[in-house]
Amino acid sequence: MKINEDRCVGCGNCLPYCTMGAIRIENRMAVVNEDECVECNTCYRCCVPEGRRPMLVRTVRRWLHRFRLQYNAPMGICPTGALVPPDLEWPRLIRRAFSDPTVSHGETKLAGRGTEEIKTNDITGRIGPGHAGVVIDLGRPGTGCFLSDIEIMTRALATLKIEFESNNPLTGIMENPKTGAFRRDVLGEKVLSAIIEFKVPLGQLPGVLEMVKKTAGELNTVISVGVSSRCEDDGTMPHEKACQDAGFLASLNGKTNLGLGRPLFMGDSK
Amino acid sequence: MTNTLHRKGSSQALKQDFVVFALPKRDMFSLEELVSKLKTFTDICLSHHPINMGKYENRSLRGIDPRRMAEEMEDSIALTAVYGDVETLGSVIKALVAADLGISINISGLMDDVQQCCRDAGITRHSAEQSLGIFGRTELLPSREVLEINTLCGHGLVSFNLIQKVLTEIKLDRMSPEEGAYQLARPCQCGVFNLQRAQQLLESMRLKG
Repeated sequence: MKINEDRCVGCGNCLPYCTMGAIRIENRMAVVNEDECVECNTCYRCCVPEGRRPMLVRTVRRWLHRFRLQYNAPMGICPTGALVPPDLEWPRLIRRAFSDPTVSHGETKLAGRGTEEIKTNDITGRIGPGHAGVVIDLGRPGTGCFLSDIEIMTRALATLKIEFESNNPLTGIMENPKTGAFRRDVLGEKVLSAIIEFKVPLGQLPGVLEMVKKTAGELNTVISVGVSSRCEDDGTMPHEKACQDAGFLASLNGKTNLGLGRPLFMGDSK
Repeated sequence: MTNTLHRKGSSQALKQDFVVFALPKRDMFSLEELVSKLKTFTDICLSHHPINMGKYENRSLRGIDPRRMAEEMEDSIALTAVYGDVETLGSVIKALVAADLGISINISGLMDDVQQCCRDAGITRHSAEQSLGIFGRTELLPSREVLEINTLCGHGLVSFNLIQKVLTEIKLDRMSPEEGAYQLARPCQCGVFNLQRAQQLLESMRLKG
């Protein structure tokens, strides 16, 4: 995000909206930490321009300050419209592609943070019987992550011969999906979160989860891990027991695909 | 898209938090058919008085102003809807099964409750996904309540700082918890933010001091 210095009056209204805490006030002006900003545009979307003239606002604020008074504008307002989403170039535009859910990804050829996972499994049959889908959401909740941290995880997983989901945008920026290495020019980019996706035979799941947990300790961020599977005919979730046996407790809540999509995946009887 | 997978909360809190998603595959239907099916989905969701909704606009999901839901959804297509009790969810699922739209429908919420709703509607769940929790530098994370509110937005657009700011405003009596929840819902762009749960959390945080 860019701040128009001619317009900013340093009210600080945009600060709390920043998902990464990357905006600060310095010399009565909002300043963005470009390394930390993930270009999610949340500050821009949520702080509606009020259309005030910067000179007038500054003068009023200065006078109020003299009398030890201050005027706090209501939340969600940028009095002078000083926030300006910049035109981004590669590789920085990766930040926006992964962090702003409202943008389309024509310029990057990336399709959002991840795929539809099990949400269309009734139609695609992507996760079949005997397999588990694994999603590792890096930088979530609320901490963000650099691509260099993500690469630590993908490289570790690659040693287990993991085949990363080809339609996932992270796989799209890998230099070599077999080693989990990313293109060198993207490693310094930070995103709000990004998802590593793959599927493994259920028997391989414990080893994979151990590796994920171990590698997470080497990262400078947090990760949220999810596991999915095609349910048995009685609705049992095969991944649940596999996780439990491996010492991982699955959450009480989660996502359920009702199986209402048509036509059902070939060979699917439900 | 693990948007709602990692919502945090006790089982009691999660009993008030269910999200319904429609996942249309464009290549399965003609555009006309698809719009008609999604309009039916929208009507079913709206008729069950959701807490929040997300609509399809400019090729992506957009949050709405939940206080103006009727106007926002007029001539719009919904892809997500949030409900605060399992009875309503059960009724929505029954209506969706009866409508037989042929679109993938997913529910985010307590697994046992959703499975019971499926049974009541005469279907068996197809696939399921669960969270195994958070790993790594968990010391970077804020309090449980802040985390519960933050994870109500699937993309994590409700920042920890905004939650703290709203809480401060509430403690100073400059904002009601209801208004606070409304303010916190604004950054969420997929309409899955549960304002009722956020309000309850803000109220309990205010009482804690």
